[in-house]
Amino acid sequence: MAEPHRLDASALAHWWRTVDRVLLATCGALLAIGVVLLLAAGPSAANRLGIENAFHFPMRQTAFLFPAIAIVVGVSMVSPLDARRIGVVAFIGALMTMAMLPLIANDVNGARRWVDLGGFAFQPSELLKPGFVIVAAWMLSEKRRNPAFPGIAIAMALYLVATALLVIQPDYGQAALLTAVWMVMFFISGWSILWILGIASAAGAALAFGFFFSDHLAARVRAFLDPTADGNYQVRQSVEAIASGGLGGAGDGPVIVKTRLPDAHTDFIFAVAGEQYGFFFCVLVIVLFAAFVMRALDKAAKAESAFAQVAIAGLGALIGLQAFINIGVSLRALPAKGMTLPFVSYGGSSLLTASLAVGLLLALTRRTRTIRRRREVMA
Amino acid sequence: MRGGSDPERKEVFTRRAVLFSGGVSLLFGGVAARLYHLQIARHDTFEDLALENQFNTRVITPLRGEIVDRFGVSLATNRQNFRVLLVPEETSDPAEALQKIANFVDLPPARRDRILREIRRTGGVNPVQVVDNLDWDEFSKISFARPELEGTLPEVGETRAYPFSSATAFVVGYVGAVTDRDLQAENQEEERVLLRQPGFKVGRDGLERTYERELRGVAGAMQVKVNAHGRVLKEYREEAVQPEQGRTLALTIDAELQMAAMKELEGESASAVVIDIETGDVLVLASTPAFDPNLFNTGIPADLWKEFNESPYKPLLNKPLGGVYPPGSTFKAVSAIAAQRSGVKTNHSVRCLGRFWYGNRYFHCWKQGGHGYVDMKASLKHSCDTFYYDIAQTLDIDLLADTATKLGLGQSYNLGIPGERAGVMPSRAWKAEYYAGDPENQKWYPGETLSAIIGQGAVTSTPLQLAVMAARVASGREIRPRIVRMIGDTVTKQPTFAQIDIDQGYFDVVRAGMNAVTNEGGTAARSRLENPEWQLAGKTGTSQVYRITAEERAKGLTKPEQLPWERRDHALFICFAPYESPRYACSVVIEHGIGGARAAGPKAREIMRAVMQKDPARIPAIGPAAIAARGSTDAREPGRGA
Repeated sequence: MAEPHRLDASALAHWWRTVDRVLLATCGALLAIGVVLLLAAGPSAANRLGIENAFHFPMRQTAFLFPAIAIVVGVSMVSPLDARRIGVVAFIGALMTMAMLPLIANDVNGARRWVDLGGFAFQPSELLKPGFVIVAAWMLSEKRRNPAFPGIAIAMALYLVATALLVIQPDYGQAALLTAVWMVMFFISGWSILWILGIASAAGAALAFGFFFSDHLAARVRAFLDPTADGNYQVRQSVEAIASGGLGGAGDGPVIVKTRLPDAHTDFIFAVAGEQYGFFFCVLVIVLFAAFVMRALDKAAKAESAFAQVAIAGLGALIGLQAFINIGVSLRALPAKGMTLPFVSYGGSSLLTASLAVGLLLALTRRTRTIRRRREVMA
Repeated sequence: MRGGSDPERKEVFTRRAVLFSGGVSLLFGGVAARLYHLQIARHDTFEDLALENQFNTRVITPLRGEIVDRFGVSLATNRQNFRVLLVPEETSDPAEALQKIANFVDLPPARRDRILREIRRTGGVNPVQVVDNLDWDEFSKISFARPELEGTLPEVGETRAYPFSSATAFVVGYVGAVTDRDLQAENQEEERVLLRQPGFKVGRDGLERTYERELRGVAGAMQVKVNAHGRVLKEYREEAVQPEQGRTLALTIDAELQMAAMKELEGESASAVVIDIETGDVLVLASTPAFDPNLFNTGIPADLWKEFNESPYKPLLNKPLGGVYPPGSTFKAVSAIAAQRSGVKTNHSVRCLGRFWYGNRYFHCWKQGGHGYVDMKASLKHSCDTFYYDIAQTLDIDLLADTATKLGLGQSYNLGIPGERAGVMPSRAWKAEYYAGDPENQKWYPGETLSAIIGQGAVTSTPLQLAVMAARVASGREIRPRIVRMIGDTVTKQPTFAQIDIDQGYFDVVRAGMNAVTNEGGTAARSRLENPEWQLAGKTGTSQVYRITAEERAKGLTKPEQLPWERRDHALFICFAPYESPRYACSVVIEHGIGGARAAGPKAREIMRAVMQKDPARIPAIGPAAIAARGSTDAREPGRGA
């Protein structure tokens, strides 16, 4: 308050001073890596899909960067209260769209996940995830503040509804991710380990149920256990591509991902990194994601409100775990799941909702109030 | 919420956040470790790293399954094929490389352009086949010169061979190069990879096409170590996944009898079918003239292809299944049974004066002057048309159609060979549907029944159907033909044939009539088999192709020999033997052969003589065990890399 020029500074300059630049830089680096990898994988994917423009994918992804950056900056400017409102609206909107999916969705490879928004295929389950984190964090923190409030019950119910909607799509990958994030939030907000064990065993039971009663899930798990099964073709190619990359990448360019990996530009973008740029580059990607999560947890520990703490940790866990699952699948360390690598994979839904998650994260970690309050305390 | 528990909450949160950070580190650390294992540890030696070597998976193409006859004689097999591949990645300029190869083997510029287009189309990732079917001399020369020819890979592949050449062409079919349409139709990526192998062939026609899946086999794979330029440094043969040869297709065909039939029909545009009445096994399925399927395999010259397509003898038409002919008088076997079903007795007698007035015109019997009084048996023996004109006045067309259908006409049997046609057995419903757009013509006129009852008019049939008809008349059972006995070691199921839903007594007069045709001085007395144990019962047929006009008749054109070939009548003959306990049924159709008795009968007799002499039904056919043993001894390692 003492320095008037600060007060007069434009909103953007104010934002720049207060936003967490480590998180911002990490996410920016990952976005740039995504475009670079698409330059390698995009042309052959475009050729395969009969798209004439060889640079269709990197160009479209670059075009998506503008709304993505707008979302990150715009959302991160709002107050924590508004951030919560945005999260709630996103959650309800996603939930309602998903409930209507069986009626309005496009059927892709036997799974109904996509809504056609005028030439742009949108996946509402992507939007659901950050929305859920915010709503659940709110419920958990309200329960903290007022023990009579049925926060856990509500959050649990919302979790079950959201998971059920994901399972009927069927999208077991997203359901598993949501479960993992929910468990992390529950754990980190300080509730008893027993609760966590309860959720974990329920999730385990659901998985077993799914294995026996759903061909979709069973096929994927079996494909993972038996590397020669047909469904696992992409994973095998991915592993081979990564292995052939070696320390510094393949000198001749990414041959395997270009010729034999249909989803190289989306779910298997990590294989492109592995084959083209090699071990060090892959480690860089992993370190960036790990740094993102660690920074988010560090900020969460320093946050004032219980809501902000849980929400920040949850959003960080969301990005981190999704990246972990995607990379794990590419390396054949986990069963195949249709999941994108946040910030990096080609795809509008994935990119825009990751931006929303980061925007919310930045909004909750901004220093504004902390600094002001410290000054007030000091004054 | 700023209660006393707040610091405590924050402490718990921090503790758990640290724990979770540890978890995250473990997860990402695990991923990094896995990455290290894949990218560094599996990257065997320092040398590999230095040379920027890579491991590629190379597909090992499987051997195509054999097609054998009922006794295991190969009808389609694989033989060594000396060929030359070009690896586009190893050449600086593919056009120049081809130019050099052309110094050693015949490689016209048109063919070179085609190869260059293929390289551009596939992006130069896969090797392409430059020439194949080289003789040993050419092959050794080019192998010797290889060091000077960059990107050239001489190797020994496998190619399809058809030992019986044209004799089994229409049964077995042939293979041909993979087209873009094949690739698009294939939805499994791994199969597409196999289809893209240089020189890979898929079934284009016949059983080769229908049983493509079974015959193709399962690809194997081998890891190879290649350097940065794509040159293979090492093949990991021990760890290779071996390919699985395609399954053997064992047919019902008897290659020896097939050859005999083809020889008998030589020089004619004709077909012959022999069926085992008890099992429905098709023993002979002959069609002349026929092409050599080996030509299709190695690329058929354009002028020959043109000649095939333009020839009036239609050497590309599978006549036993795809040729449709009016059955003519052979159809009287159906008419006589239909007549009995309508209440006509076998002793019904008609006086034939050579022509029959109906409606407003004469219908002629084939015999000028007429047969005099004929009963049902005599009507078959002498093939008297007038007898059937008389019956047609009261016979319902739908009853005739029903009888024909029960005896096997107007339907296809899905033998598995593409191009099988159903022919036509007209009925009221058929006519209404055929003239759906023309209500004037939908009504069935009684005069049309007079044409149908002697197998003319709209009635058409294939030689296969005629053989089935002969088999059904002989046995009274619903014989269904088959041509594939076994796929691999699985025997295809053939049901025991039920009795036809017609009074079995009605068949007797037809069988007796057919016996009279050959053995009691009937229309085909000269087609008799002398051996009493082989007693052959038959029925002649002559189906009109062109009606001689009154004007032409006035000019003196009375004999069919005076007509140009393509206007002469078709000659047909159906028969079964032995008469007392029928085992084999046969049909022969000679296109424009003029007369069933003169042209078709003797050929059918000679084919049946060969059949009766061998009596293939008494010789045990090849069994599943023999097929399995055969498969394992034949599964050689496909030669790759010369």
